[in-house]
Amino acid sequence: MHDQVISMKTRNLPLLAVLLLLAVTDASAHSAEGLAGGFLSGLMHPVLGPDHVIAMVAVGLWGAFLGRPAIWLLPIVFPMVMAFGGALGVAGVPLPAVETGIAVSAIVLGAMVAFAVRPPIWVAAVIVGAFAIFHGHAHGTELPNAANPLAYSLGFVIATGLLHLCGIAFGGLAHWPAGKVAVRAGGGLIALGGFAFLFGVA
Amino acid sequence: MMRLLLALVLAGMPGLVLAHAPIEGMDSFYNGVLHPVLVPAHLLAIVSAGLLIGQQGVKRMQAPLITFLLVLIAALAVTGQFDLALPESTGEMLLLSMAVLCGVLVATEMQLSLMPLMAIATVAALLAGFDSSQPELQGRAKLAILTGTGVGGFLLILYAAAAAEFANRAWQKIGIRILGSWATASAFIVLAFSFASMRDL
Repeated sequence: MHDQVISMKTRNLPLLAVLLLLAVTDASAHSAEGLAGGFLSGLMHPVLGPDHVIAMVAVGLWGAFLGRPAIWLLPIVFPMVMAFGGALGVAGVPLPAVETGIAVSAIVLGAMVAFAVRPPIWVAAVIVGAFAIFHGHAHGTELPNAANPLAYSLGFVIATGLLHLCGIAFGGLAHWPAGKVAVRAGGGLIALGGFAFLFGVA
Repeated sequence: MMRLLLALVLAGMPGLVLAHAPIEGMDSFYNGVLHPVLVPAHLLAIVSAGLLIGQQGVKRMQAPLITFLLVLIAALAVTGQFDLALPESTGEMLLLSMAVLCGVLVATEMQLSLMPLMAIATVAALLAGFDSSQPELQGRAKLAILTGTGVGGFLLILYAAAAAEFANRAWQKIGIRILGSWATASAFIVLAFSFASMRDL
């Protein structure tokens, strides 16, 4: 588990560099460290959870693989549906098997990329949206404990969007035949990662 | 698009630290200029309103922007003169509701007629103005900080609107819509949390 966290950090090194730069800005500010902490904990919650990371990257990958309009529609749909899941979480509405749902999201989304599944756009949006509820619920459950809820909320929404962007960027390789193989292989790895989380191997 | 995104992120970060408290060592006017940028609820509401107004095109954005400026000046003048202010939690919830509404409209790239745009600009300016009360300050310091808040608030909505209006390429327009969805998501979750907290009291 720890090794995987480190490997994910390495893979997202440019992103983490930006995030850490932002962190320095906060730490050197005047007061109310709790607010900065809220933002940072929100920002880091998706990034430091490998199960969240691979699923978010898979959303971007699948969007890029499907091409327009999915490449842009999915990153718009996901945060808005995730907010609904987050609202359920902060309201204390229980959602069964949240962690299982997150692991399954990686499996399904990874498999969609690996097998180059191209459903109608509304089907893709429904699949992604359904899983977004699990991710949102997991983030939302942590929100009441955050030093500043709005800061936390901004943090995890931005981090989620940037992870989508990572997937979209990698998925851009699908324009070339060899890149398409790489993208599908990436989807396969994500699906395997999802299985590892599902069965507690990771 | 990336510049806009980074600018928004960087602008939002210090504000999360400072909230409504003035920054020590900085003069009142500049504190006021930074106020709408550094308070997350103001930032979300004003930027989402600006993006929505900018999405309508240059012809339809002029009247709402002027309306925003005039109403913001009026609201700041009233709050400065009479120390009228929204209760902090109410102000934040209303600003977040505005952010949710505008964010959804931005994300769906809704084309609106002039009247709804004017109404949105008016409400956004009223909320931003009445949530910027500075009862602890007096005299020139209060005048300076409220003047700065007016300048900062107008520049913020102007830049957001300009960014959306300048976004001509398809990917740029989608980037603006993604920003709208982010604003909606952030604001909606915190609104839900606020309502849940009120229910539990």
